[in-house]
Amino acid sequence: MMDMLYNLGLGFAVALTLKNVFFCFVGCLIGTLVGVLPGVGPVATISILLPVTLALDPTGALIMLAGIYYGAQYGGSTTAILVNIPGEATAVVTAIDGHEMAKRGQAGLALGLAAIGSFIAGTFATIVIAALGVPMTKLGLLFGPAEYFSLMVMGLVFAVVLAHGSLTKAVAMILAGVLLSCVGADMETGRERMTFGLHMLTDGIEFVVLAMGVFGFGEIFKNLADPEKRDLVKGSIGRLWPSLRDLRENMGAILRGTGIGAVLGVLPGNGAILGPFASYAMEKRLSKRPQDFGTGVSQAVAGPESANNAGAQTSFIPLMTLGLPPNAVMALMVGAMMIQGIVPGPQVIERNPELFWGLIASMWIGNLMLVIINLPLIGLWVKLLQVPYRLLFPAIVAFCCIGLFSISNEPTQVMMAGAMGLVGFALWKLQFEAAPLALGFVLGRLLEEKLRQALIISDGSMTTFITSPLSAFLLAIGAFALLVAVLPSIRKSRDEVFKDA
Amino acid sequence: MLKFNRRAALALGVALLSTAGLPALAQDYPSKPVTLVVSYAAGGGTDAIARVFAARLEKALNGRVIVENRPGAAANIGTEVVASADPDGYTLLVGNQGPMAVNPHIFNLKHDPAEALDPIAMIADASLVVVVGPRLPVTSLAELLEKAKAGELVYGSAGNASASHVATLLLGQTAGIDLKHVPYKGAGPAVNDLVGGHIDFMVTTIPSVIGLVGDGTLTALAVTGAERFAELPDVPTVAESGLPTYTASAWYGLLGPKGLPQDVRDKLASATAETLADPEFIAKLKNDGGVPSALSGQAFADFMAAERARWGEVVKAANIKVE
Amino acid sequence: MSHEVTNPPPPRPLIGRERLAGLCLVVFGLFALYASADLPFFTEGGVGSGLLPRALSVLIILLGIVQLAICWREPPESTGNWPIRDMVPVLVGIFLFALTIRGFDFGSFKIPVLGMAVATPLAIFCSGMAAKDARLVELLIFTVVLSALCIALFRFALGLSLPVAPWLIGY
Repeated sequence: MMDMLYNLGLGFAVALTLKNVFFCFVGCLIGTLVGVLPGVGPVATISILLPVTLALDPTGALIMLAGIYYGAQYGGSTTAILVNIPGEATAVVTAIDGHEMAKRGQAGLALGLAAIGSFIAGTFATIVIAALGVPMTKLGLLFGPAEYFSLMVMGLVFAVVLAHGSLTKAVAMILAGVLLSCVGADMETGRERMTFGLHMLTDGIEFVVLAMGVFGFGEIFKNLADPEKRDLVKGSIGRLWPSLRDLRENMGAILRGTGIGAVLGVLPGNGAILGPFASYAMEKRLSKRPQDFGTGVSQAVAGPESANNAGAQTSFIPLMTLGLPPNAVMALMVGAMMIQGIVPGPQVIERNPELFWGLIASMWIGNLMLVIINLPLIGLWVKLLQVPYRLLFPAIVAFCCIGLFSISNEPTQVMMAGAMGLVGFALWKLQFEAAPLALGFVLGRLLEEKLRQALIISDGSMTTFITSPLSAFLLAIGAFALLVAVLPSIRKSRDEVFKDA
Repeated sequence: MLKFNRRAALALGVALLSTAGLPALAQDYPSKPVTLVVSYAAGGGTDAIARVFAARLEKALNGRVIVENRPGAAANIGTEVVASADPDGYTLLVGNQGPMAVNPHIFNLKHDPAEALDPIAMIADASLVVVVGPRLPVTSLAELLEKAKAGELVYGSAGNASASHVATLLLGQTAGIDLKHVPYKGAGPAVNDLVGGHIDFMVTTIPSVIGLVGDGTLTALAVTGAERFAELPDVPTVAESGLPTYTASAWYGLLGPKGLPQDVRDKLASATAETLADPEFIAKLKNDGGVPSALSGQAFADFMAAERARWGEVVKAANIKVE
Repeated sequence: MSHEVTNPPPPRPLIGRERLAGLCLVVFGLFALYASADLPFFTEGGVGSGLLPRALSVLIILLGIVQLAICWREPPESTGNWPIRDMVPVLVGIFLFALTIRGFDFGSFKIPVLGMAVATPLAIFCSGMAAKDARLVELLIFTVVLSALCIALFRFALGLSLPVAPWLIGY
């Protein structure tokens, strides 16, 4: 304990130098900007900035790059809430209730809760990293392909819970998402699957293309089809910042989300994406009015946002304690360290304590800065919604097009997203929910990858998923959650049949 | 509607004017930014090397060099883009082992890289390393090969037909052993499973594991290059460990579309040579696991041809083919 | 701009939303089944690339049938208007952007690289025309200002390697 305090003290001494605070601020600001812009993610930004950071000292460079990462996570939620475009998988969950809140004139409340929730989550996660970083590394290593597959199955069950309409349709959407994720070159043999010989499909469908098409363009089509509804946002704006009462009501959700997100963030291969919807599922389960979820419930924003941020933070653990990057951004951080001549790995704590602890301390400072940057911005964002829709949506179209093109400098991606927009509109017309589709899509990739890896290792024996205790445990939780989710729904639909008759 | 037509026509006219009849002259080259195409998404190993290289090349060329990521279709899109670009020296490719030497054997390519591209100079050569994790407690490559003869070992790779995959295939073929391949998406997740003890061993780039080797979490058995790696002086090469014919490495080179003007080529070759001689650049390269190369022009072309022939046999023996 | 088309009253539904949804699932599943028909189910010692796609297709078809069964006896509910016409300008804007930003090769006909300086205003202006309350002058000014802003932001502030106007300034 004393050690930890001493180390954190060292960290803050490093992070609070004027120079590093400045780098942290710049990082958070750039991060927020690229996060808000749809399509331009932290990965592209950081790789472009890497050569620039060479001129900085290692600690300053890493503090700035880390700032970009969690700044982008935060900025992404802003876009999700305001215009229903989730830039990353984790923001899909935020968009469900967050955008509904915005439409009801509660954009300020949603953004404010997201900011405060993220800050609390960030604070907690910083302490977790400092205190438990090394033991938590072991948790991530327990997850081999078999365990990971079971985790994904459990995640898909959570995706069912996410839906608020018809169960049949929700399950169909999840499966359709998984199916779409299969498109593209097979990872084991390189053979093309369901690509119809189209170049743009060989590497599969980009998540951003699906999300911007179905959510972003789909939303625009929806609003054009329904001009009366689109200006609801212009109605009453409501309070800009959440009140103490709002905070009290959402504190439970924030803390639970933080806990879930912090644990899942440690998992390799971007396990952090599970955090937000595990949190959503939990809040819906605990709520007295689960039927309201999906119509703009504040807990459904506060919880997942906290989980998202906590996960973003703890995903640094495998990077810093083992040098193992759990996602693409962390891989870039490894690159940044290597370029600076620092070998990422277990030795970093001993050899470069000022870097290690400075980075951790800077995370907390960065979270504080995000609140400072973003709370005043809320007013601006809400004003943005008051721009007449006839000008707002062409701007969204332009930003989306540029963002889509910049992913791989490929115009076909832009076209594909346009077509996806029509799909999104049709889904809305037929009352299919898009969120389960997106989540099935994200989890589907990992699901198949891990399934096949596990079966290669086990020589094709399915028992591998049950003989591993962790895997069996996860499957059991999934089965239980499915039962709990399905039973009332079956009972209810029976009741409804009788009522109609 | 009228507005658009006029504007498009105008743009079209200007575009035609600017590209027509202005041959590139070496004195002026580069008179506009040079685009360096990378066939992978931002953030990978090739991208990292290309960006460091581009930053230094700017100084040598005294003009802007922009890295453009054109990922897709197992890195074949980038090859295609440069192969079909104007040979004016403003569109260049950072090519590497995969798309240049391996892909022609497993894909039906629109452009054969050997025919459609002009090799300018090799940039770097990066040795790979054979590492084992807690699941396979051996300390030498000979021991690993012995274990593999007793029972099938499971190895991870950074992906189907990646440098990591084909280098392991060659290892198995040279030693005459059967191995079980588990493909991952990139080296990161594979190394994770190696540390977690879910797979036995892997052949991977040095930067992806050097920290874990230094601390003893993973054991480096051998490096795949022709020489030992400076940062891992105690680790022998595979050739020293009983497979004298074996070498494998990931390499990176600068290529242009076929038919570059000789003076532009020369200018690029000398700018590359200047870059590769810069100690600061060499240091950065070493951090990425690479050493600068001295191969230029025809020597580079010969090297690529030899590599291509060699890896062709390996993938044919392993029956890797994408229809 | 004759955008004052009054949408016709919703036609009496023949199939109804829920049944249409079920039908769509069946059709989608069948399509996916067709698309993955050439893929092997199993390989020696592992799952083939066709297993998951085909299993999912079948499940989706089954869910479609379940959906049809559930709503078969309910009165059909209308899906409302499908004002495709209002969406066309947006789609045109998106496609024009894609076709002009880096040029496009149709084989016999080639669009040169026009860059952001052309593609962005096209996207903004065309999609802006989709609004029923679009005002031409306002939209034109907005197009110019926003395009300049986009170029400054993406190309110069963020440093993305996007073509700006190769025909004019060389990059």
